[in-house]
Amino acid sequence: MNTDNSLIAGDEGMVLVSKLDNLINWNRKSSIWYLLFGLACCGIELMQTGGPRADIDRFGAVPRATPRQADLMIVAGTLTYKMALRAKLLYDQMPDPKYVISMGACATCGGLFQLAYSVCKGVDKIIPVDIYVPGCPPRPEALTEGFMRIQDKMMRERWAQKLGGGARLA
Amino acid sequence: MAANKQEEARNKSPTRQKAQELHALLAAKFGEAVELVDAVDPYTVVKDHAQFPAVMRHLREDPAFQMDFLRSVTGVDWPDDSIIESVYHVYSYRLAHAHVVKVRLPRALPEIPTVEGVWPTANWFEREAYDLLGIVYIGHSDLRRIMLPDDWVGHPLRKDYAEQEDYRGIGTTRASPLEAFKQMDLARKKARDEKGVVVVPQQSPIKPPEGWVSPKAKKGAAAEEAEEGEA
Repeated sequence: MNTDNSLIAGDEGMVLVSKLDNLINWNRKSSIWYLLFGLACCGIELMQTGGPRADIDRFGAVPRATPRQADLMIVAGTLTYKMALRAKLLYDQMPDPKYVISMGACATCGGLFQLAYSVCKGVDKIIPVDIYVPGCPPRPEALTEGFMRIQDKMMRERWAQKLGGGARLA
Repeated sequence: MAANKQEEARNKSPTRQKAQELHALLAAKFGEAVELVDAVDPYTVVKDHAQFPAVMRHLREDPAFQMDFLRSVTGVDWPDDSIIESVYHVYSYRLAHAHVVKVRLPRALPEIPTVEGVWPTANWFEREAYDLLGIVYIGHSDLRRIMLPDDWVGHPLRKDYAEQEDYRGIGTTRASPLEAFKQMDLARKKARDEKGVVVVPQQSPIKPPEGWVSPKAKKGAAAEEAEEGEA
């Protein structure tokens, strides 16, 4: 039980007393929109994760086809240097706060193709990564787990406190 | 005996006979300019590069060939012979036969006229061979890299290709994760040697349930009981 929240029986129904940050984060974690960004075979598993069986939509996560509307970038697949420049551009176009999941061995370190001249040795060479999901490719369950770790990370953040300077609202 | 049988079977192969037949037709027209190389699938090498465009146009337009489809243009690097080969696979849909034509180019400056005018599809094939092996196709309408970025240095399918240290500031190497563990071990050893402290490995945070006795302890207790019983 989170001690930050308390549920009180009021005269006309239940009242939830919480912190503004908890409320904001609760909303944020329940509507993570991720960028449609499949690069290789991991993209197929990413589609499966969005499909009816794993159904990542139950977390409120829906794919967006534009970085302007995305909170989360799932780098799914082998990243070549040519694509790395585009991936960096897409990341820069996403609005803050933004998160990155490195999905699979290739995105994490180059994987099977790390001795190839054209393959970038890990997406963390160009953009900061929050969660690494191992696998080749990871199963939808593994990606869902990584997704839930992003949710945990979101719940720990204190944006209202930071932006309000921690000052008491009048 | 076995080798002979194998050779006999190979000589009977219809694709092999067809290739020899097609080469004979080419040789009748171009004489010394073309040469047959007797491989598993024999192919034609065009020795006289001045004749090369005429040979390719003949393949396409002659009624005996009618090679209307250029399957692929590839390249092979032979650093020991200082040669780069440009390889053309052609096929005729009408007559259902195929042939392979090669040209051998000096490795220092591999240049050959384009066949884009004969088969338009050669445009992309030749760009690919240029991109990966650096073969220059003279007269090509748009000889740029096709797969690698435009500012790439070198031609990666050459045997002596050396990877650059970085591409636009992105490093091209990654340390093995095992190195990190080795560093950790070294640091631990150093701390132990300096301070004389024995670093105890961290214990598992998972505690056994209350009243649980390990099998080893149970065995010991049973042995003690047995000893008591004897006494």
